[in-house]
Amino acid sequence: MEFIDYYKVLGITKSATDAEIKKAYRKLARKLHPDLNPDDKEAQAKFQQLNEANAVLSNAENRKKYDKYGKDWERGEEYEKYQQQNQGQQSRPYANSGQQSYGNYEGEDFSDFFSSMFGQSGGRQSQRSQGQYRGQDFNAQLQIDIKEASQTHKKELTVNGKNIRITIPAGIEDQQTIKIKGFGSDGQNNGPKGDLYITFSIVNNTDFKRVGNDLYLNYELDLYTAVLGGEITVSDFTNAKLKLKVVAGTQIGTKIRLKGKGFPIYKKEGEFGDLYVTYQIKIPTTLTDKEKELFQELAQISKKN
Amino acid sequence: MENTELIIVEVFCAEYRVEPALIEELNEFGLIDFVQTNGQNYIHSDHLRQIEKIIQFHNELNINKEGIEVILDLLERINTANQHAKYLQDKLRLYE
Repeated sequence: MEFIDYYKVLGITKSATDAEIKKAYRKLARKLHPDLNPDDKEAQAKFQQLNEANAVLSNAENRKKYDKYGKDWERGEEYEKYQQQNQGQQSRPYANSGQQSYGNYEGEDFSDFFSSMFGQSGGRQSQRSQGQYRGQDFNAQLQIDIKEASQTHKKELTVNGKNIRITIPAGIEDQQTIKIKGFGSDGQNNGPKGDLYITFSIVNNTDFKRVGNDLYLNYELDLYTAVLGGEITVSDFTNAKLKLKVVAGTQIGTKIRLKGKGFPIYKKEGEFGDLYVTYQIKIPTTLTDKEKELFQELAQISKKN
Repeated sequence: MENTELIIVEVFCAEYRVEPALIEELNEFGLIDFVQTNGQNYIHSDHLRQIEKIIQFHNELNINKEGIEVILDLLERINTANQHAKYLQDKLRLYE
């Protein structure tokens, strides 16, 4: 458990007045508010500390306690005594009526340091009444592999002890978030339930690279087919064999577009992106004497031309 | 009792402790949209999350409705830009 310097969090000195604390808090809250920093975990963590700092420093009693025992909070016997004597007050560290706190965000919790010094239950009291009508949203992360992502499939999840079965449509993107309506916590006073937001993390262990709905594949073409032309067989993402004609004189990096052979398009059944096959030419590294002789002959002919 | 999709504006104001005048103002400004049925104004539950956000901007960060509109627009643009950045990152990986 680490000591948190709440003065530093607010960017103020120990001698800051209440007005300075309020000003610093408002300024930083406008910068770090989670609604202004979606998906920014760092900003959310800073915002949590900011709320704690404000809760402690804008309350005269808490500030006094923090100033006195802050760094030695874990050891001081006096602190223990203080804690026992003030038990009643400790359960309400936010009793200051003029105090404002922004909070009540999902996953918001108080630091161990804060909870240890001021109590977790007290912290909860700072949460505003807004947002309690509609149930709280839940966020979850789900990792699936790219093969699963290419097919509409059902998955059973356990969210907050409840089993739910969801359908994941084919074509879901990496880091895409889907909303499952009504699977958050219960609302109050007959308010609607919150929602469940699932963010997908898609693991790709295949040779195919995905960009949006298109797939890219590198294909190693042997030198002779590249020079003379021919026919090759390529497996697409579904492992179906595709026969491709290779024109004589194919260059390294030549890209072939196979329309509709890419990744399924999200929520558009039967529609697919494209598959791009890029040819890499495989240059032989070990040659027999005969082959070497023939290449030298070719080189001579080439020079003459 | 069942949770309903439509919430009477007055119920919303009471539950969220906001002045009806503020909600009315936000509706007139176009930041939120009421659903009107039989002369009664409702808020659709699907819009609650967004309205909560707007009220937080207004009440907690003291941002006026013009400012909120700009913020929401910029957040939308950031979201689009992030999606575009993700697309470009994926594309860049092709050359790694």
